[in-house]
This record gives sequence, structure tokens and C-alpha cells, in this order.
Amino acid sequence: MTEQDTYILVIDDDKNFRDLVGDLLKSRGYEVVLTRSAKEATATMEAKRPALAVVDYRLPETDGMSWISTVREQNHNFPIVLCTGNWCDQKTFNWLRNILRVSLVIQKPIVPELFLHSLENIIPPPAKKSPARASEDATGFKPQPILDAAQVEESLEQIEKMLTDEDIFPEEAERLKKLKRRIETQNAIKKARESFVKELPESWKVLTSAVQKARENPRNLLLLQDAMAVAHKVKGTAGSYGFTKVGQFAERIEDFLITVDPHSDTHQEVVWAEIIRCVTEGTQVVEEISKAESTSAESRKLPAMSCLAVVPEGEYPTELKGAAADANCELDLVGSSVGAIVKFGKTTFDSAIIDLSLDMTSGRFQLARELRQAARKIIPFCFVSSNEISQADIVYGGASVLISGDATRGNLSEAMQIMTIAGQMRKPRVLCVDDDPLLSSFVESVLSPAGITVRSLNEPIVILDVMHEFQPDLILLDVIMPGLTGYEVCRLLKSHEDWKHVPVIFLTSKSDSEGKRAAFTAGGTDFLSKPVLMDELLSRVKAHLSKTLSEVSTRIDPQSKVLTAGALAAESEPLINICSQQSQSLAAGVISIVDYDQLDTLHGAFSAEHTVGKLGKLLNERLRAEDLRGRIAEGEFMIILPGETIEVLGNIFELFKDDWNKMWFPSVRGREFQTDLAFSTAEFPLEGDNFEKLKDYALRGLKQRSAMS
Amino acid sequence: MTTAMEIKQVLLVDDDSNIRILAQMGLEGLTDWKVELASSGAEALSKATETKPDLIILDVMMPGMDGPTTLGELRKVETLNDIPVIFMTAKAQTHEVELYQKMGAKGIITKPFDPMSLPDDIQGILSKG
Repeated sequence: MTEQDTYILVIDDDKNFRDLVGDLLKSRGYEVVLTRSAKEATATMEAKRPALAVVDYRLPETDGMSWISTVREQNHNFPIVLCTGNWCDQKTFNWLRNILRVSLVIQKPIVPELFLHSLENIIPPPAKKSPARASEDATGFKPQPILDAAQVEESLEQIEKMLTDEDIFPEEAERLKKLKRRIETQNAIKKARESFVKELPESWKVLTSAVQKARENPRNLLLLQDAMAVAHKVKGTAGSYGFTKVGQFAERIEDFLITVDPHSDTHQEVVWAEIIRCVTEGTQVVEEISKAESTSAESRKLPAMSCLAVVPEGEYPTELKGAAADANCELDLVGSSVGAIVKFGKTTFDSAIIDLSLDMTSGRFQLARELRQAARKIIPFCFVSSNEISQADIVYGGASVLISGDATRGNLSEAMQIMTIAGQMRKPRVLCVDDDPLLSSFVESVLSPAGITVRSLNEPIVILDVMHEFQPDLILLDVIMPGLTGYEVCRLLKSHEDWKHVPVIFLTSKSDSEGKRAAFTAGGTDFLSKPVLMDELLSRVKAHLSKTLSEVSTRIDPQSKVLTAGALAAESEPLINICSQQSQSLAAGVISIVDYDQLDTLHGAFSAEHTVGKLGKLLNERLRAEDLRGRIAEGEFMIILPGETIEVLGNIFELFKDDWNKMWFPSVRGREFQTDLAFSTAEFPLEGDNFEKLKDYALRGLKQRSAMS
Repeated sequence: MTTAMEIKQVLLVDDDSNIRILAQMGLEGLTDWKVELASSGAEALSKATETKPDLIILDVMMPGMDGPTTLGELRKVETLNDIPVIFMTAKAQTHEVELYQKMGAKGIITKPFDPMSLPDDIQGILSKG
């Protein structure tokens, strides 16, 4: 046995992995030595024996298993963790565990939280020797998990995925499940800590005034005891919530108060001076903590949407930023169309402002089309153009708003608001009423990717206003909030004619039958216990939404990715109603693939399906976000454009033809083929005042036209 | 970790709601124990009679009936006198620890505590016997 064994030996030929593991371990206070090969590791080991080794399964020259065998043959007994890209079979696994005494087999890619936790179970980190005092910041706050919320979620997701792996060993599954629970608990505690922070200044104020009263009446034993009790409580509570420094000041105050002798006059001043010093310093720390908290809460305010502005570099940036602040929009700027496509490849934005002077791509509004391709959804656009541009171009290009001439803070912010509304149209909406911004952002992060629009409301008092404005399909309601309780809010909604049918799901930390009963008595549809789990939230919300709306996934035709006939009918109804109320026009058009029935016979199986897929894609890449596109029959599609006339629609058809005529489809006959599109229109309210009538009229027109030709 | 007894139901007694929340989160999040809460010694006595917990975690400093007094009252009730009790306190000097143990407490959890290791700490105390 050589020198002391305090370091972790990492052996991996992949530099990225080595560095990742190194950083993770160092973050927990371990000493780490990184090596690239078994040979290098052995050399390191001869100088100094490690406390633990993390070994890659596959290594150049001597592989990980052989290295471990050698180590064990030499009677080295330190724990070893083996990392592998694949699950090995049960036999190998048993051999690793029982013969080579490998403490842990970890699958790559590693989940940071899981990896650290597993390692800490084998050898506690040096930091753990004094848990509360380790790695705290200036305010004495001990940031427990080193991962941020997004990373935690990612970890949970990965664990979830690993658990669904059929080949996973029962003991590994058990370990993962346990870890998942740990992460979830840690998350919940983090949230509890956020709300505790809000109370901290008040608790400290109580302590301060109790100390002052005792100081002013040093002979009053009751006041002295009262101050001690308060200090005692703050010490235990603040400390347990991770605010070590606050806890320490409270502890010092308590300790000094004990030494105050109400019957003696000697040495009292020194003691009191020390107590007052602790109170003052503690106050500063508390102030710093709540300041940090309020700024982070501010930054957590959810933006209504994200927007990428594709504008020439240096042009109207202040106007854009001002507008984004006004419209509560998360803004990113990019100075070229290529840059825009690259950005969209990395993150999906909810909308884009495109200065047409930058659209250098070939073809008409090609950039808008490519952004939708990258986003894989129909995002709304705002075009900025100094040149004249026709209404058909605007609609076809997909712009919900056009800014012609100078872009100002005012018209940009208006454009962002219009895009927000356009982007939210027809998506199911969920209103989350909770005073905890962390929970709201959690709900948003879970529901948004599922195509659900989430609005959060922190003050339940204004709920009726928000109901009118947002028209949610479902409400998530916290029980305990300042001002109104969730039960009261629910009763209020249920007594309101307009809102009594909107389902309410309570979020409650009371999982007992009493809480359940109260939730249902108040008119709640369902309830979820806190801490809320991701899957459960999503599945419950979806289940309740499907009762009120048509299910999100069944709305879309799988071949063409546009609305199904049924969904189109349902969703056109509110659009037609709005146009009727506001005496606006509305144009409906039918687009048909000519000779659709014969395509398979002429060009081979799936030819027809192929054209349908392409046409659906084109429809989604063109037109505005608020326009409807649906498949009404095998080779027939219908589009509905609110606010437009059939003249504009006629021009739009020409633009469709241009794009369509560039498309070629593979044929079994060897050569590629093209098909024609046939179009027909119907205008609201002249040719029909509901969906069915508009459709019939347009279809009749289509038949007449084909008969004539 | 093995314990002599299996815990299903825990009664947690503390006058500070923040501590109750935190401890409950740690315990229910990490174990399958069901945690019942009480905010005073008197409430603890009635809840204990009602639910017959397998373990009582008792804050020492509480207004009204404090922890040791509550323990004394518990011991007087025949059906409750063998429920293990663990004290929770922010002030644990050696002589106090001895005193509490003499009174029949299984052990002491010191405040501030780490909610994430609370179940282990409790198991540790119980397995010491």
C-alpha cells in the first residue's frame, strides 16, 4: 500500500467524457486525476493509490475489464465504477459485480445528477464532512443541487427513458427509481425554499424587534426569553432551509442572549454590542438574499412568446427591444437569412419578424418557408418591407402582419401582439393560477411542447378579467394562495355562467381525503398532489382537454399533416363567427389534385399519397398562422382565410401553382411526373354562412370547372 | 439499512409550519412513510391516539406543552407508551441529550437538519436501538 488514498482515478480515452466527469467530481470537492489509457492509469496508481476508479469499458490497447482484472489480481480493493456505452448481458454483469467486484456499472451517456449521487453513495465527497457549511455563497445560502431546473428535468427525462429499457437489470431499475424520487424531492424542497425566502425578511424583523425590546428592558426576564425563543426558531428554520449564515447569526444571537444576566450590571454592554452586531450583519444578509430572490423572480416572468427578428444588422435594434419589452416577448436578433435558419435549427422560436430586404433566398418569401420547415410548425410572421407588396403575397408568404415603411416601437410591439394571438389560435389553452412562479414555469415547460398554450396568473384576484381575455379551456388552480384561496376562486368561476363549464384541476399539497373532498365540493374536476410530476400533469391535462376539445393528436391528418375534415369544420366555426360579428369577409378555397384517383395506376403505388404529403407540406409552409388548412377528401384540401376576399384568394392560387409546378414526383415509369392542381373559391357570407355551405359551394364550382375543361 | 421495526405512519410535531413542510417533504418524498402533522403537544396527543403512529418526531421547544412534557403525557397513556419518540431540537447539549434519553427518547435530530438526509438520520437512530 502506497500513499494516502484520497483521489478518484478516471480512465477514458474520450477527452469530452473525461473532462465532464472531472468537472462533475471536482464540483463536489473530490480530488481527481484524469488518465487516457490503462497504462497511464497503472503508472498513476503506482505512485499513489486511488480511493476509487471510474473506468471506461472500451479503451485502446488494454480494455477496461482487463485493467480491472489486473488490479484485482494485485489485491487492490478500492471501489471501481465501470462506464459502458451498452448494457452488457446478465452473465457479464454478474461476473463484473461478483468476481471483479465492480461497485457500479453505469451506462453512457451519463446523467450528471445520477452519476454524482451513485458515486457519493460509494465514497462520500470531502464536502460532506461538514454538510451545512460547504460551498455556500456570500449570503450563506447552500445551493444544494448543482444542476439548474432545466438540467434536473433533463435528468429526470433520461432516467425515465432508461427505465423503459427492456434490458435494464432489476437492481439498476430499483436504483434509478430511488434516484428519481430523490431528484423530485429535491425539486420540491427547492420550491418550498423559494416560498420560505419570502417569509425570511419578516421573520428576521420579528427577531430584530424582540432583541430591541429585550435590550431596552434588560431586567425583564420575559422579554429576554422571548427574544431567545425567536432566535432559536430562526436558527432551526432558516438553517434547515439551507440559509446557513442566517441560521448562524441567529444561533450567535441566542448564545449571547443566554449569557445576559438580568440581575447584574457588569459586562452587559459588551454582550449587547455583540448581539446588536449580529442583528445588523444578519439583516444585511437577509436583504441580500431577498434582493437576489426578487431579481430572479422578475427574470422568471414568462414571456408571451419568443420571436426571432431577421433584420439588417444595426437597424432599429432599440425599437425592437423596446417593442419586445412592451409585448412581453422574448427577442433574438439575427442579421442574415442563413443565420436565421441556423438559429431555428438550434432553438424553435414562436414567431419571426422578417425584413424582406434580407430575404435573399431564391424564390418568393423562401426564408419564411424555410423557417417553418426548420420549426416544424406553422409559426406566424411579420414582414417588414419598404417596397409595395400585394395582399396575396402577404397572405401566401405567411405574414400575419405587414409593416410597410419605418418600423417603430409602436408598430413592432403591435405586430408582436398580433403574432402572439395568431400563434395561439386553435391551440388548447390552459390557465395556471399559482402564486409560485417556479411552478408556473414548470407547468409551461411541460405543456408547451405538447402544443398547449399556457398562461400563468399569480394574482387570483384578477381571474375574471384574465378569463375574458384568454378564454382558457382548462384551469390549473393552486389551493393556497395569498388573497383568495383556490376553493374560493373555483366557487367564483362555477357561479359564473360563462365559465362554469371550464374544468378546474386543483394543485394541492393536501393529498388526504379532506383536501380531495374540499376540492370536489368547491366544484373542481380533478386534483393533482404537489409535488406535481411531469407525466401525471401532462396526462391529466390532456385527458381533461380531450373532453372539452377534440384531442390534439387526432386533429391532424397523418398523411398530409393538415387538419382532418372534422377538425377543420370544428375550428372554422369560431373563425366564421368572428368574421360575421365584425362584418369581415372570409374566403374559402378548395384545392384538388387533378386525376388523383389515377395516380397510383399511372405511376405506381403510393404515388397519390406522396402528392398528398407534398401538398399538405406546402399548405403548412405557406399562408398565415391564423389561416386554416384541412383535408376534406382523398385528393381534396380546403383553406379558410379570415378577412380575405376571393379576389385575393384567386391571386394566392396563382402563387400556389408557381410553387406546385416546381415539384416533381418519382414514378415507376422511370421518369418523374407532375400533376396539376384545380382550384375553386367560396366567399362568406355571399356563398354560404357556415362551413358546410361554403364547402359545398366551392366543390360545386370545382366540378363545373372540370366539366368545362 | 435495516431496522428492527417497519415504519408506516409517522407523527411529526412542530409549532413551526415551515419546519413541518420541509420535514414532511423529505420524509414522504424519500420513503413510503405516511406523515401526519401536529402543531402542538395537545394536538400531538389527540392525533397519536387517533392514528397510532409507528414513530413520533417531537420538537422540544414549543409554546404551551413543550416536547418533554408531551412525551411525559404520551407515556401515561397505555396504548401510546411504547411508540418510539425522536426529539428534534436546535439546542442539543450533552446533558440535555442524556436527559432526553433517560426520559425514553430514542434519539435526537438537531436543527438545522438536512431534509434530504432526514430519513437516513432517523433510520440511523432507530437501528441503534
